Amino acid sequence: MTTEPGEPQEAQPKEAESFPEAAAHSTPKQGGEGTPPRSQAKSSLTEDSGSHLSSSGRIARSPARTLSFRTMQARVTLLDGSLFTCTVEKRARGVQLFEKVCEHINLLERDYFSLSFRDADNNKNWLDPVKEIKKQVRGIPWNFSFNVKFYPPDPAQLSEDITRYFLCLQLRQDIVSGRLPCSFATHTVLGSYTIQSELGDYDPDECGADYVSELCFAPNQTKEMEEKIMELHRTHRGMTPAEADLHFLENVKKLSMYGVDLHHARDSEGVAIMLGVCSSGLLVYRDRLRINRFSWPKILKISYKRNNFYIKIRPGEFDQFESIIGFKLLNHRAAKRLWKVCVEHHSFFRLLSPEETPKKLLSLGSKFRYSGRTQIQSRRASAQISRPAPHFPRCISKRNLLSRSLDGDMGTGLYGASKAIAVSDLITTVTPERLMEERRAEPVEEVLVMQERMEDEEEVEEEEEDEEEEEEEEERKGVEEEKIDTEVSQQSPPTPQKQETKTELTDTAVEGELTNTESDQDEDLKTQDTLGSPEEEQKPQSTISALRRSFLEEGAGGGGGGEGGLTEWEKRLASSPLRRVDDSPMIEPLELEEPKPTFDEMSPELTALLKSAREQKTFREHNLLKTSEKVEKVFLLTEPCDEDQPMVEQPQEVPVMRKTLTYEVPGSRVDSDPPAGLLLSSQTFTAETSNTSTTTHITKTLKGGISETRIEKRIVISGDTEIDHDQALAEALSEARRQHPELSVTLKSQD
Amino acid sequence: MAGLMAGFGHYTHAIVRGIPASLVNEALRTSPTEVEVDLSKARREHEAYVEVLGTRLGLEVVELPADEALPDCVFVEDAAVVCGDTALITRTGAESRRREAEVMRGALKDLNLNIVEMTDENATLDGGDVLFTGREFFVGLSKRTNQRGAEILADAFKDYAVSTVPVLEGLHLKSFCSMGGPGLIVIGSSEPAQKALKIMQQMSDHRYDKLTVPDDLAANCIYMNLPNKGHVLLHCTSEEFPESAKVFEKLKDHLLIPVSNMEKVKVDGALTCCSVLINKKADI
Repeated sequence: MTTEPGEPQEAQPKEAESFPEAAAHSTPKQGGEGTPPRSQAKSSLTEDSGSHLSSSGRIARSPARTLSFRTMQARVTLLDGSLFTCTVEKRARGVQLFEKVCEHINLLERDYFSLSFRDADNNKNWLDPVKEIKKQVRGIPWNFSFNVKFYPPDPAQLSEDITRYFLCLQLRQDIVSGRLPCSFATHTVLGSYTIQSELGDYDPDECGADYVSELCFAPNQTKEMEEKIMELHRTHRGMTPAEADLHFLENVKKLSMYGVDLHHARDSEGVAIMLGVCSSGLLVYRDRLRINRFSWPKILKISYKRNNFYIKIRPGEFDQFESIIGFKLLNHRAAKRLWKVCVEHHSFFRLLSPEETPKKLLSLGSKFRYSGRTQIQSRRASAQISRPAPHFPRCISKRNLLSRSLDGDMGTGLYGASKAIAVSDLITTVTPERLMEERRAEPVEEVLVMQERMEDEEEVEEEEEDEEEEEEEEERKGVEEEKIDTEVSQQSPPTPQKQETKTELTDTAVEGELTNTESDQDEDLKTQDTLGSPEEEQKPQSTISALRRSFLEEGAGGGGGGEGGLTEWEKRLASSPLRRVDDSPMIEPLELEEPKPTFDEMSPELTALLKSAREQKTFREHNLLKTSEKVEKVFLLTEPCDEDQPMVEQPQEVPVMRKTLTYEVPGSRVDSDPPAGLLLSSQTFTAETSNTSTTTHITKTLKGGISETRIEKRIVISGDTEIDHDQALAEALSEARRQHPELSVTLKSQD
Repeated sequence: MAGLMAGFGHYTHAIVRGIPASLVNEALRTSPTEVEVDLSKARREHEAYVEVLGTRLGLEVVELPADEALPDCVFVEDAAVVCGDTALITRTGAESRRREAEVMRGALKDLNLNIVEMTDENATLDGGDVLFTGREFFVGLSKRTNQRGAEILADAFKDYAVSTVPVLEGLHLKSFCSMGGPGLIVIGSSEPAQKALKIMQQMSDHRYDKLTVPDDLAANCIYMNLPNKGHVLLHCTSEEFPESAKVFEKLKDHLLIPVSNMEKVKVDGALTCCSVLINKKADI
């Protein structure tokens, strides 16, 4: 299968039909948001329809059209294959376009869906709703696809039939493209429901002999399959389209690859594997076989650094230590994509709410966070839907429409249509991404650096952060040699004599991109409980096979030594909690070794925040004297300019307000204090708005009985010419003052 | 059609095969050869087994003739894996057993199943290493089954997750476990068995219950869900494994049928080994 993704060229004929409709929707009612005048929108649409190849980017850049300077035309391929064209502000964020599309298709349960686009290397990326579109789709046309991002494990729980219908459309694409493999029997059953949903009851008068052949159901559809589908179709008489969709979904959700987002990777031994992200966790495949699985509760931390992707695993029943497992992705961007998808899936399916609550106090989490609603929130919201079920057409069945959305996506190589499964097939089926990368990988450095540069602003920032974090790590290591009692931050200020080794070293192996983590204190305490030697701890079990071995080894000491005369079986009987006096059989639930999610796990960020708030309070309650408060200098950095607007060479300001708060425990000065001070905690949070990104770095250190909290805020203003930097800065300042009323915030600006 | 993957344990047909005299001396075995198989006793046992399937449970039994050139041919389970309407003809780990597939293939074709061949010369797979839970497959990587064999199985049954489980001791994966009901895994209590179970639970998205029996071999039983009979379990006799039989006897919801397997077990034959169970839906 070498079919190209459903690019607009293929959709062209359809576009003409859908055009009037699209145009009608391109000027939404809420004109209050500064949408351009209707005439303007029309004129750009006209131009576009006149010449397909004229990129909308060019229109926008055309100096003659002062108004269209601020608007862009976006084209979105909908799930039924039609094209929706609309005009959005050039500075619009992803969510604005997404909302337009959802309005157009009359969708209320939106949280499962998202817009995607193909980057220059043809990799599928999700459009971040909170970021500006233009920063995400640099250098490529504004073509998007409307897709399911989170596949609901139980589609019957969706509120509206229309939502299920769109989910069905997505899944039909997934099946036809080979991303969602299924057996012949399943193809026929699913196909028969599709037919029933679209055509209704079998009607010998209307249906020709091969009415089924006009639809595409499977990657390699055979006559035999079509006949079987027709046969089954006849048995569905009387089934409504909504019922047929539900039956379709009830079957498709059981497929093992349902909702699994596959990514090519290699394990640390270089063996090609696939990583699958799904609602329940991370799956590891080698060829077609599942060789490991990490459920979200087992994963303590997800991170990436360069092209490496790491997960930190909760210790098992017999393991003493957390282990870190590393995978190699094709490049930095692939690692980041995987990481993002993990963060989002974890947030959506595991958390009660995304980390939005902290926004008001301190902005928590890493730069990237899942910004939408979680599944739980989404369900709650769906329950409120009270509109009458909308009528919507299901007449997508133009000839082989589904085949248009054939999508050379990841995984097609592995789970693709091919019947032959020789090893060579698996290896040589290379996605475009891999080809690109392999070529690129050879000359290394320079090219990679180039690539980094070309990456969007977020990643540029990340590079800066990397450096910061590395520095920080070094600092930490230095501190570690000092021996630290990590219980300090929990209770009262410590007596420095009582010191233990801080076993935080595992953290330093990982980049600080940790949304999915508990606070450092927690981990420290945990590792202290187990009292391992740091050497052991530093040895991450970085290969799957190593992990596998550990599974095999674990428990070796557990059941080995026969105590007394008891056989293993008798011991088991004696110790079984389910043992009953009566003769009931001993059926026990297979414990999944998955601890019930605690509040900490459900929302680690929130927990971290609460803890930090608690600590601050604790310091106050202990009558610490605030001994000093200083605000340090502010400096400027320049940001690479927006390529769309080469005229604006204005450097961007990066003011850093460094507020240092120093507390002192009255009368607790001890001379034997380590000179460098004890690092009690260190947290970095980032918040992003449309044009600013705020990184807050909080460190708490203890120097000679003085507890010092340092809050460092870096605000990157990344806007356009329109932005009044002074105003933005002022806003940031007032926000900071609001957040920390106890501090006096001053800002020195250097011009 | 109520849906795919429904009806775990529903069977209509069973394929069995006779015991050749060559089993006594030539069958592959992991146990010491001093333990002699009593041929006539073994055949009586097998007849009783077949009778349970056919007469007592009402399955349509396809009896294949024994082949003296294939001493292990009674253990039909290894030659084919059937799930739904697809049958994978395996490439058994022991080369001496490969020809067992020929007759099996014919029988499965006669039942109108979709036949998938394992042609890859690097692949080996014994049906005894394949545990189908109704929701997914576990394939034991053993002396008889390799990764490639498991891959081909995964490709033949695309609807299901296929996870691999190392089998460190014992002949096959099902030498110490089997299904005892929907979502119920019967497992031996030896350390290797428990370890394998741990791996299975780690790999799975589904929740299972477990029923632990003292003897590994006793954990191999046959579960069926039959019309008018409900849950049916063929399990070891109390002569053979008294402790384990007691555990089975406590199952209240099952129709329990102890089946003797004293002789075949000497050449590593467990209960599941001696039949291939098939659910042939009435043609629409």
